[in-house]
Amino acid sequence: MLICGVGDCATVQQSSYAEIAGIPVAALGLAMYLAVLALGALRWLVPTTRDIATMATFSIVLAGTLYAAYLTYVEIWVIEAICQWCVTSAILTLGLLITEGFAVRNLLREP
Amino acid sequence: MSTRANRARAEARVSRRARNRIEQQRKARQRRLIYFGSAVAVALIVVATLILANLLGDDTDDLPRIREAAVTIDPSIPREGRVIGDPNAPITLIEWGDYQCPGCGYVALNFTPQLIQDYVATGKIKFEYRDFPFLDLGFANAKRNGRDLTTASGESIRAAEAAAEAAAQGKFWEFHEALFSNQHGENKGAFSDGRLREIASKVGLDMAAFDEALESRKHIAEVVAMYDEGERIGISSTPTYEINGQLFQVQSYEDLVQRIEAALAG
Repeated sequence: MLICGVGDCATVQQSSYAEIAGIPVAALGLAMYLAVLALGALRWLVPTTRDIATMATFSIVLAGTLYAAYLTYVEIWVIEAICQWCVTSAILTLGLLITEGFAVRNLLREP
Repeated sequence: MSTRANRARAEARVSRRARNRIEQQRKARQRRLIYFGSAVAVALIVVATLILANLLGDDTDDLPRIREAAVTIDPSIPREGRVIGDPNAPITLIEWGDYQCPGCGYVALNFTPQLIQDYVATGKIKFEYRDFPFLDLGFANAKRNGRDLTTASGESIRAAEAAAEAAAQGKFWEFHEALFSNQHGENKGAFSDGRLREIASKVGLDMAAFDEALESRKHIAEVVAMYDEGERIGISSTPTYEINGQLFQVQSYEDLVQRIEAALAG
C-alpha cells in the first residue's frame, strides 16, 4: 500500500525528475555502476587498455557526480524532499570520483 | 682508430635510442592528456544533455486523455457536500487525502466503493473526505514565505478547490472518483485548471458555476481551513483515516473494516 508523505522517497520518485525520456534516473545510476565495474575488470584483465579504461571510468563518474549534484540540488530546493537512497548514491559516486581522480592524476604524472 | 670509431657509433646508437624513448614518452603523455581532455568534455556534454532533456521533458510530457471515473458511487445514498451516508449514523469515518497522492488514489478506487457498499449504504457509518493538499507544497511554501495561505496554489490545492465546487453542486463523490481515476504523476499538469475543467464536464457539473468558482477561488478558504485543521491534529501523510479523533493508516481493506468494527462495538 502506498502512503504519501513529504520527505519520502515516494515524493522524489513521483516527481518529474525521476525519469528522463521514460528512463528512470535510478536505471541510469545502475548502468553507471555496471559500466564502472566492467571498465575496472577490463583494466585489470587487459593491462594495455589501462590508459583509456581509466580515462573512460573517470569520464563516467565525473558525469555521474555532476548529475548527482544537480539532482541533490533539485531535491533540496525544487522538490523539497530528500530521499536517503539518492543521497547514498550521490556520496558513493563522489567517492568513486575521488578514487578515479587519484588514478588519473597518477596516470598524468607518469613519465 | 677503429675502436674509437666503433665506440662513437655505439654512443650514437644509444643516444638515438634514448631520443626515441623520450620522444615516445612525450607522445604517450600527450595521448593521455588528450584522453583526459576528452573525458572531461564528454562528461560535461552528457550531464548538460541529461539536465536539458529533463527540463524540456517537463513541457513535452504528454498527458493521457481524461478518463471516465473507474468506479461509480450509488447516487441514492444520502449525501451532504463531502459527507456520504445517513446523517444519524453512529460513527463518522473521515479520510484525509491529497488528490495527487497515489496512495489516496489506490484507496479511492479499491476501498471506497466497497466501504460505501458495506458500511455507508447500510447506515452503519457516514463517511467524509477532507482535503489535506500538501504534495504540491503550495501551502508549505506560502507558510515559509509568510504569505497568506489563500494566495497559495498548486495542483493539489486546485483539485481540492474544484472538488469543493463539485460538493456544492451535489456531485462530490462522482468528481472525487473521477479525479482519482485521472491521476498522472505529481505536479506535472494532470490537474491543471484545463484538465480539472474537462473532468468536471465529464462528471456533468454546471460549467458556468464551476468556471466562476475556480476563477474567483470561491472555495479556497474552505480548503485552507481543512489543511490547517489537518496540520493541527497532526496529519503528515495521506491517506490518513480518523474515527472519533483517532488517526490511523491502513494496509488493506480488512484493516479498515477492523477499525470500523471496533468503533461500532465500542
